[in-house]
Amino acid sequence: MSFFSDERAAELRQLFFESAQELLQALNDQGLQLEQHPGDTEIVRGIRRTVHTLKGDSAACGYRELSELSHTLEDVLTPEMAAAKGNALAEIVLSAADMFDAMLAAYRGNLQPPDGDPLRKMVAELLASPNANSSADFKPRFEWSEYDRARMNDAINRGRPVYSVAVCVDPQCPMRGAALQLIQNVLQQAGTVLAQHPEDATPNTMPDVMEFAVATSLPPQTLEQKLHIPAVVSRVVIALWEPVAAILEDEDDEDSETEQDVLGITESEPTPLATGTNLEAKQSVTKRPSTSTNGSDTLRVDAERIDAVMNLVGELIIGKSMLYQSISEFGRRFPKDPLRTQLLDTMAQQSQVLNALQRSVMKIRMVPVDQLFRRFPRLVRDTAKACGKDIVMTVSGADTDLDKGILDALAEPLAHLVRNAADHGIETPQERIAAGKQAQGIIRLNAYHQANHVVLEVTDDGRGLNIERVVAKAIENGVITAEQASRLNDAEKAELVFESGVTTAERVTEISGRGVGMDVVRNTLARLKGTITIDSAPGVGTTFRLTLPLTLAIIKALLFRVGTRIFAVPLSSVIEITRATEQSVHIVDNAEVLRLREQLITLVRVSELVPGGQGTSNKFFIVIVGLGDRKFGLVVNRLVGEEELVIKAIQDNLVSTELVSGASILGDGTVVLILNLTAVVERLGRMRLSPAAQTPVKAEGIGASA
Amino acid sequence: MNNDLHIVGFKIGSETYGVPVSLVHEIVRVPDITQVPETPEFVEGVINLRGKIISVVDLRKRFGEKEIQPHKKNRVIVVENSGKLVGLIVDAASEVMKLPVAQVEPPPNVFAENEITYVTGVGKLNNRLIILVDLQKVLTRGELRRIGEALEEAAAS
Repeated sequence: MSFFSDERAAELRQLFFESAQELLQALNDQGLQLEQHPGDTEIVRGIRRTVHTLKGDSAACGYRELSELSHTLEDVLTPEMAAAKGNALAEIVLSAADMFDAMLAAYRGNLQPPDGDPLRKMVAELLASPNANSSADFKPRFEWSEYDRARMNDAINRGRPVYSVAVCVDPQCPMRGAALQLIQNVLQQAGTVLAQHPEDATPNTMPDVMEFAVATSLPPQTLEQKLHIPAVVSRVVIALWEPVAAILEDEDDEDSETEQDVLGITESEPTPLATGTNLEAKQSVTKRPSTSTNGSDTLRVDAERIDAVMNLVGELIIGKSMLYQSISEFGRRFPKDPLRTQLLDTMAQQSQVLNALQRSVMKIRMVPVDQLFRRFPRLVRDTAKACGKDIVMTVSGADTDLDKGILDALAEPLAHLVRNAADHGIETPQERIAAGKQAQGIIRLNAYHQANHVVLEVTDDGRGLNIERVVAKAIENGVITAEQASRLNDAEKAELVFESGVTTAERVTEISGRGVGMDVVRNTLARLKGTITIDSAPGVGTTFRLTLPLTLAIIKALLFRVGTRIFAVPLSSVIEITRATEQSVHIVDNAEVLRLREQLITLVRVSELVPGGQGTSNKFFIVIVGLGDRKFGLVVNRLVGEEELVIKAIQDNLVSTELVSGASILGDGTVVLILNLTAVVERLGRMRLSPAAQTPVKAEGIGASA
Repeated sequence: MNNDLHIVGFKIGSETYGVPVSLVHEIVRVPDITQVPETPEFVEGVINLRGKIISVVDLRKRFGEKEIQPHKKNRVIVVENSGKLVGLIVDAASEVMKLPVAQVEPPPNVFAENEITYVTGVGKLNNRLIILVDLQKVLTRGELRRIGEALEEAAAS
């Protein structure tokens, strides 16, 4: 380190943090893969390469603790260990990923990195565990008695394939009796157990390896997966039983033998670890061009620089509409001047180029949602494990592009929804079977484009939202009154989960159920000018649908005038526009409503935001906007039109208010405020008139000389 | 040796104030101001400063002036405050003045007693008093007391 200047070192560290983040993600992915396929030596090699790269990089940056811990971890990352203790190894890899992450965070903040001892202990335990090697070469015997064989033949004759199944019980498993019971349960669910060896196994005499003959129509892979009960079963061997063959060699077993041979060669060299890892390090450089962006055709650019370009493009667009206005004015004054057409032509060409420029810049900011989705398998796994559930996560549309800023802001809310789905949505295996479902729950993440929006869906096939509970909770916490609740439809009731303090969880767990979170999810969505809706059917499952704009920088907006002011709302939330007069406004439940085609729509007087208020006119327009499943009508004096607005954030805390999400400049230089509909409706829409909810609209008047 | 302070002077009511010229970005006529809901009373709103949206504070309200009449001499002084541009509406703005450091005195006790902490000093130039203010303190949310009021109180006691 000493021969680098400080600046160079800082740059190097920055690079390291970026690449380390990718390595950690890779480590998480690989750990999950290993858990799915314990004993897959190729995965273990991959993990080892990753850890090794991390070790080298961190050492180069002087992060000694991280590099030493990686080194310790490398000790257990051997194909033998994977074959013997795939599941335990996967657990270690995942814990290591967490530990490394914590260390990196500490380094980044110049703090003392956390102690790596818990991980070291896990590694040491794994290395010391007596069965580590003995079970590696465990070979099932599958010696069935004549009687057994007759029963097996019988089953085959009746058209059901018979498998010899050997299950290696984890020696660390504390409750062997329960383990035996669990294994037997799985097998009995899968098919008919024809034979068991040793026959008279009791919890006390149970050996490490149990053998079964099972007739089942399930594919062997599924059976194997089901048998891999974490922390109980360390290894499973399944072989198709054929009447003639006495002992069957298992395919899986052969595999691991060849691996051992390969390794034998390496081990015969004088310094096995060093040469092995060096080779691997070189491989990792050539083998990972897709994940590391050091490739020749990819650039890693500071997001700030792209933002700077984006800002300039925004200025150009404003300039364009200013120019357009001047040309129109010129056309009005000199309609016959040939210069007019010339100007219009040039203008048209300009705006084409400008549009292309805008699209290109926006594309730079787009990243596939996979960057976000890939974090969740780990989350689902951990949650499932913590609540004793069996959950698989499927992903579709992972290559859908979304603005990086939006994507980053979505990480938290989406994680919350996924965690909720795993914790509350999906039932325990027992409940699921009782309900006639597959024991394994499914959480599906889906992303797709829809017009100018990106839709993200989190779907679970669990028990669905308990609407009665939600309503009861909402009433209990004073969000609405029982009387109001009776007038809501089901969709509106479901929406109540987004209110703070409402939870459907029967108990508060470590993971979720405190009723904070859903309101945060909704607020984040509102900030991103997106919406969230729920689809839920009891017993079938729940879908949360997040709709987001493609980009935050430019929106299509509807402009209208209230009093002397012009405001804008995102066009995407406008459903329809209608005219109305004061006479058509009714008061229902203390709220102003408008009857529109047999539907009552709560009105929001935007004029309350404007000093001086509403004009005197009796006639006005109602802009009907949709927020989730609910509709509100904004009362406005006049419509101005539809325009593409370049959003400029108002960051100054002097004028910060949640009612306004941003501002923009029109062609004539006027500043318009873009309303944050969620906040405006909440503040002005008197939907719920509990006294507490009725906050005054007037500024709290800081600094007002009283 | 250059011991002169370069300040931009402006008038609010009958007093003359000054801020260092280094903080002043530009001085413009009062443009159309877009009001923003739920802001403190002294914040007038936002304006479009050649493509940038900046907030505008009415310093006259901020300093507790009672009667505010729009006048063609009114100006917006655009200053930089903690990295951001803010516009200050004043009754009138003057040219850049050179104020010898020797002519600047620390704020009189009467200001401290009346909790007027935003005054950093008082300068004398051509028989005029120029009150130097700390913009950061002026632009922090919170109540400010009018200088005239403080002086009256001090005189009365």
